[in-house]
Amino acid sequence: MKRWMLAVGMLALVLGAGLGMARTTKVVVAGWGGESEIAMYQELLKKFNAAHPQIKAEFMHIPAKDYWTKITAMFAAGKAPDLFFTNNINFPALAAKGVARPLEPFIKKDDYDTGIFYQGILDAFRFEGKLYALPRDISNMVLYYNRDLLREAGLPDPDPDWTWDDFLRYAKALTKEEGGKRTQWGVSFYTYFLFWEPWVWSNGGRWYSPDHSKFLLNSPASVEGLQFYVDLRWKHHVAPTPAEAADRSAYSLFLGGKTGMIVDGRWRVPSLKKKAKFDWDIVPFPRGKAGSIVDIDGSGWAISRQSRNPDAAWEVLKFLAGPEGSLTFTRGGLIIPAIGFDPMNPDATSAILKAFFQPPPPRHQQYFLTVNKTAIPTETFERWSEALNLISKALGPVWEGKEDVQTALDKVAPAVQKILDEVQAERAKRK
Amino acid sequence: MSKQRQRIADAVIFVVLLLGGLTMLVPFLWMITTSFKEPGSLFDLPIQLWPEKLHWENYRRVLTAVPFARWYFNSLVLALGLTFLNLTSGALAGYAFARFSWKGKDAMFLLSLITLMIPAHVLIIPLFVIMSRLGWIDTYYALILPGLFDAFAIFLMRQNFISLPRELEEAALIDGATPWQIYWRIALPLAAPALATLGTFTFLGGWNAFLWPLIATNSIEMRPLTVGLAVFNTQFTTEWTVLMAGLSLATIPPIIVFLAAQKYFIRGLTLGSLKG
Repeated sequence: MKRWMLAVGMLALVLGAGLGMARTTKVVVAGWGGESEIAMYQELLKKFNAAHPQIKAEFMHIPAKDYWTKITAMFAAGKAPDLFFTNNINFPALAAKGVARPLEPFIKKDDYDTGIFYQGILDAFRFEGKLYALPRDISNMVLYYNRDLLREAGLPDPDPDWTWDDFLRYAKALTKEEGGKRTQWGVSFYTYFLFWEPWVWSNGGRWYSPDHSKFLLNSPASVEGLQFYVDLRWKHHVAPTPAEAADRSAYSLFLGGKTGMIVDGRWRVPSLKKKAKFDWDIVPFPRGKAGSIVDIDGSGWAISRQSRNPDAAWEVLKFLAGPEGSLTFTRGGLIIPAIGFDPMNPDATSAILKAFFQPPPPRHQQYFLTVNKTAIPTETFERWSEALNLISKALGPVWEGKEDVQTALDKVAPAVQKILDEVQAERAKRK
Repeated sequence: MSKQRQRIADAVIFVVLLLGGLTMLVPFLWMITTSFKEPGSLFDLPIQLWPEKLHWENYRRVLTAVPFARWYFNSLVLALGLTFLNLTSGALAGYAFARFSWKGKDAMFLLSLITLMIPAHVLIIPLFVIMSRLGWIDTYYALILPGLFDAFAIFLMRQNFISLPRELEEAALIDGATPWQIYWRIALPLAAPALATLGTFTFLGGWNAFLWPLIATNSIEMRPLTVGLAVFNTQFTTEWTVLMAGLSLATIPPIIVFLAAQKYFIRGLTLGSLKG
């Protein structure tokens, strides 16, 4: 009887000690991605956990669709993940609610060098002067072109320093007509903001003043740039109209060889490599009055305010965003790494660059990196998506050729300005 | 003469139904043919209705690259569990509202109807908070139990029980049946068509649910098909062919449920329990 009790007691002691020793700090990393990306996360975190026995990092996959709904619900319930993946477009709205921790204290403590990342993408994750995320990847825009169609039209590969006039000449030469009907167009036409903001910026325009206090999209430089883009469709007719495109997306028209050029992101490379039945390459966005300025947006991880283990989360963050994480994600072939070449860490960073430069096409992959020098982040702020909704709605008739850019944007300007004024007031209150 | 007109009318109805049926079928056909296409050929022009070569690779991928069987099982648990609970609670509450009287009954009924006016999105965050306090996030409880009571189910069952002839139940009462026996032996069997209708609706609702299962599950293993298959629909690209292979397989249970419930719908129309 006594022995039996002793045995149970011993067992309890051993179990208790075991549990006590096994106590590790858990760090949950939330992110989106396809199945290949999930595998990359799992592989990376396994490596991290092996090297850090006191931390147990776990990946929580949330589908991209409704990612923000789920994240919001988790924050509301006080169950936020320790690290969450975010893009810079959605980020200011979150940052304004104070859900993330500024990284400066961690950076200072570790004397961490953020100089390994492209400046533009770091700027994209700054909010009210503080850095909130370490970036993983960059998305920007280049121009893809169908070399077969160019050759057919007797056009040489575009010069990387080409201008809007050159671009228009190419687009016209690539447009074909048969029996009064267009059968091929110079360029695919997107109406989503990411695809038209380079036309605004490269013409010297902006959405907003730098402090987001003034709406500038209806100012002369912005309007002229955007009107040039719209004219491709309605004046020069070198881009398909909605009726001509029918239900085919801008990208599927390019993939099907119906358009000779398309301004698009790096994410098209895997699909073009697999599916394109023609020779293709890329070239920087053509130069306007102010140069060739595309967006440098991207995504990275932020530490949530609710994290109970911010220091452990910072360790995981450094690992994921650092050379090892970057190498794994870059190898996946979907992203442009946010880490540039680092002279202090040449081996690790050149391995990333090597992984990025996969066998062509495209032959001129370096343009995905060179355009980052002049690129700027999309001008997001706390209530960006609200303002974007208004602007997108106002531009609806413009895409359909029923209104010119100036008229449409002047109409919506007061409503957007009102949002900006309110944002200024809210910021003043927070300070 | 009138026979002739009848036949013309029949023909017109037939043509309209045929066109309607075809319109309904096209998306399904498109789904199935897409699931057999090569990933790159989806956007080929001219549009291919049927691929030249059946491409089984999509099915292999959806079955092996992701825990498809587990998701399928989760979806079944979710949809069947929801259906069972909803039929039980809806029928019991509906019967009570239809046949018993107590103080505040009308107010209670009204209150339950009012819940129909609350948009589902408003409930998401409070529900998530409750479920995580209970520690039920990422379990079947969180997936199913929030749908335990549904005002629509109660309403539908109440209306159905009210429409049943009271005489049948009174006869049973005279024969000495308890209220439970009357409910179980008489009222419920007569409500079979309504139960079949409600069951089909609830099953489809559970099978198609996306937002709540997304919020309520954290791990990949606990997801139902709807949320799981979203992995093929990433930020910038969608693997249509694999997605459609998954969806083609996912369409089977709803079809079975519909076929099984179908005869009750029809019987519901011809049911005559009281003669003379």
